Amino acid sequence: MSGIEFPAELQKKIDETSPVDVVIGVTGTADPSALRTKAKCLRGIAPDGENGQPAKIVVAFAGAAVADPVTALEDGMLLAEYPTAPAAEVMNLWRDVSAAQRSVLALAAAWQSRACMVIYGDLAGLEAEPVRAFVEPVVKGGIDLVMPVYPVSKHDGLINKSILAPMSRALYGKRVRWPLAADYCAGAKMLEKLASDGARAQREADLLWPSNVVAMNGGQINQAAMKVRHAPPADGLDLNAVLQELVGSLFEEAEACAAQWQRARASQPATRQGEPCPPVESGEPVDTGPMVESFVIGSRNLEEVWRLVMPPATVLELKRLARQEPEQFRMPDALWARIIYDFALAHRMRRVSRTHVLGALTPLYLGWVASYVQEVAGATALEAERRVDQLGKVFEEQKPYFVSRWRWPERAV
Amino acid sequence: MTAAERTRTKRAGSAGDALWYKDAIFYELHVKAFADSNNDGIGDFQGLIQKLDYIVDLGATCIWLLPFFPSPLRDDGYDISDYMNVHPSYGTLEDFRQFLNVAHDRCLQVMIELVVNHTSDQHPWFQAARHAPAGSPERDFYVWSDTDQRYRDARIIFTDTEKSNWSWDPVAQAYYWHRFFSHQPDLNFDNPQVLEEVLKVLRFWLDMGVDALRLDAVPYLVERDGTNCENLAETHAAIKAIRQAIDAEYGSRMILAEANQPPAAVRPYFGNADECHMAFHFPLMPRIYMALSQEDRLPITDIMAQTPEIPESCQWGLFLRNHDELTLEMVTGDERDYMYLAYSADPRMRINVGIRRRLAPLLDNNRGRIELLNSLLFSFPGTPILYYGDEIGMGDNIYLGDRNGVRTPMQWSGDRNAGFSRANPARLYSPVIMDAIYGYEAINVEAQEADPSSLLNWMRNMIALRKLFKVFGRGTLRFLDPSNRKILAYLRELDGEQVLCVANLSRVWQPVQLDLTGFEGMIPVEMLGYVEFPAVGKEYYPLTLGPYGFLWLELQTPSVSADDEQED
Repeated sequence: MSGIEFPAELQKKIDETSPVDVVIGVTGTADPSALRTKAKCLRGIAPDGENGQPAKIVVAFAGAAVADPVTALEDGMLLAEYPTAPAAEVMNLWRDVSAAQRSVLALAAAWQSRACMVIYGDLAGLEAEPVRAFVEPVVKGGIDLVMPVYPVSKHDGLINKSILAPMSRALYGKRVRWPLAADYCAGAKMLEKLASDGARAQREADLLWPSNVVAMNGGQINQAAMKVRHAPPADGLDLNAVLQELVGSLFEEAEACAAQWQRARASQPATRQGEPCPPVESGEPVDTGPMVESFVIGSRNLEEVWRLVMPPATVLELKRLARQEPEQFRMPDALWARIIYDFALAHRMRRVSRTHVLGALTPLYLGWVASYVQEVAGATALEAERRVDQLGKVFEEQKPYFVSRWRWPERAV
Repeated sequence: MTAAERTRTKRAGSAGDALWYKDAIFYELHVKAFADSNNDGIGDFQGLIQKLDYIVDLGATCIWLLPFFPSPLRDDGYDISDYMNVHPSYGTLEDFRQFLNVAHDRCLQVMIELVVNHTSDQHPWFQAARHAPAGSPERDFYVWSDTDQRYRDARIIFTDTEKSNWSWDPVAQAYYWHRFFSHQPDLNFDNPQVLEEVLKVLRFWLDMGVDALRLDAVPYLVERDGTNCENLAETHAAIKAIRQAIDAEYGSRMILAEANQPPAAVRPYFGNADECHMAFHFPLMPRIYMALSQEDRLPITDIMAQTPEIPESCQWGLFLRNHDELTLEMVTGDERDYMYLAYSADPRMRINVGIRRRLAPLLDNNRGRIELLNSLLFSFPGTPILYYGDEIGMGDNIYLGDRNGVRTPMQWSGDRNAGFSRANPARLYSPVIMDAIYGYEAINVEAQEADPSSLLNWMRNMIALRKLFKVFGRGTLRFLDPSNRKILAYLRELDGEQVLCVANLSRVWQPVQLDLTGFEGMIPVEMLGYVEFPAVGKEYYPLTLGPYGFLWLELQTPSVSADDEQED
């Protein structure tokens, strides 16, 4: 059981109409009439039944309908409203998106659906082609999870590139480009696991890391292009807050799943299928000066915290970096990987408050960004992608360092 | 179902996994000894609540509370006069509920005592029984006789204080039966009404959300002439009835048998997974100490060879020390003599058939020995049970009576009364340990938290490490048989996960050649530091261990990285 209970009327409708073939859940509120129009394009995304009956497809969105939460569309399609907490109606944080994703996945599990596609609330992904590209491998190919690859420039999604993706890859053993995704499709076997996600689903602030959960459960993961660009849920928030939310959650995930990720060794690719995303070239050159300056200021002001978090050799190396000429500023990948691992450990050990730990990471992250931006300044989007992949490998190579320190940490302050 | 039962409010168990106890780390404590919040010199539930984070940080997952019920306290609370209340010195029922909620909020399970072999002679049931006419339902709650010659084959347990298992009651004008102190009359489980009352007590606490019950003195529930009055079929029937009630009405709860018996005699207490979920492995504990003293693994491998298989859902409870004496009832006479010589030079260290000392003093405060024994505790098949204070190496006081020398206040800091209480030191329920080696100024939590190399921090790391590997709680055990008997080596296996544990029981370096046939090509990875050792080959695998050293090696298959992913 996912642990999510639905209102009686919705549950009754589910019982009357289950099983279904596909649930497509929008993680947010939506205008039902706009959805009805959009939903028409989804008719052919799943194969018809053996007797020629059209696939039963449910399109779900966050709503408040009590009396009639499920209405019939054409060709066996249903439009359903799933309940969501009032605070989550405006999904401006990843935790709201994750909560909505869990609701959608639980809904699909209750409906005994063969597949469940979650779609970001801006509806940009609610088109036949991308949805089919995600649903088909699950329904026809038995894949457990299809994760998206978004078209981004080399300067986009840097928290993901620098921390979320490489650390997820190293820890959970799957090379997934966007482990924290707004759109993906999961198969029946994984619905309950994703919806409940262990005890962590009870903690509202926790984000859902679908590929990490599926990897820990031995599921097969593919990737497909999602050729849309969302305004990320964290847009408009300051960097500190975003790191607190995203990186803090990844660290919490690492703490909760330590028994599993310490078993995963090396990594396996997540097969990419279909047309690749076209490379997106970046626009204006980025001025890295302020970032290096933030790093240097951080190295002066935060040394006390850094010394609590990282071993002396690392702090010394950072001091050396702070003395580099800004235009020559480079942060070695191995150093960066060890920094992230040390911060994950400090987050676990609570030597200082978690807010302080993650706050002290911000100037280091800016240092990495400056280093990366300068390094890929003349590179194509594809070359920059390869560079990011290289970083993932280094995170894997440094994993024994992390495991070792995790298993036998220095405890006293 | 009665009206009262229909209106009962039942709280669900706090553990998600029905087999939670298999992966648990138990922490045994006495409320009176842990922390005093109101400065009356006696620990209480509010004090315990304030210290729950310490237990969480240690890594324990289940708190075992020694008896906290109203009692004349003539046997440290095991003489209960009211099963459904809290001793006023420790707080109120509401305090207990609050403690339970706060513990559950921290993902800690809670085990309490179900002491139903006997009550206090002050319990209203006994007072009613002795005043009631012979043959009346009230009288029938206890075991009476006109003679003290029945059940003569039953041994006396508290040999230092009791001369007979019968005592004369001048009011009842009859003898009453007691397996322990004379002020603890045994309940009569031949009377079905007694079992009903026991089930009411059980429901009272389980309804509240208590996760587990320790069945105290469980082999002695029923008596029969011509037997030793231990482990009788009628006793097992009573336990089955208790288990049935739990399974019918509750989820994720556990009962643990205190049956100080040889392993083969304890086995029936698991039944066909229809009696107790857990039982202590009493005979293992003294043999661990014996193996250490003799620098020979035989006492351990021998007792484990005598340990029968138990049902899949059941579990042994393992411990190095507890609130009682280090009991030597389950060893031979020669072994007992050896243990007395090796571990209790001063006769004051002995009580009944055992040794009343804490872990650290037993091991001469030798850090290597303490770590070695804990490594065995954490890697043997079963659930480890820690006794409060042993995680910091607390000492004992052999000059206190009974077993009180191992029940002294927890040593939190170097402050007055070891930070346990702000009361006048003379008012404490027990003096704190004050000697130069184990005294609170030398041994306390505050100091050890600040010391990266402290025993406390070592214990925290070991517990955290053990919790990463389910194989320790759930896996199989197979001993290796190297020619060097000072080395204890064994394999734990679960679902393809294999851990090799090697321990040096000797005070000096020891070499060993291990037969790892079947593991050729695998890489032993030292688990504490995640260090790869040379791969296992066709020859015997050589290792060298320092004094009291131990190794936990995860046997890994060489990893193969898949090809690089396709690029966009």
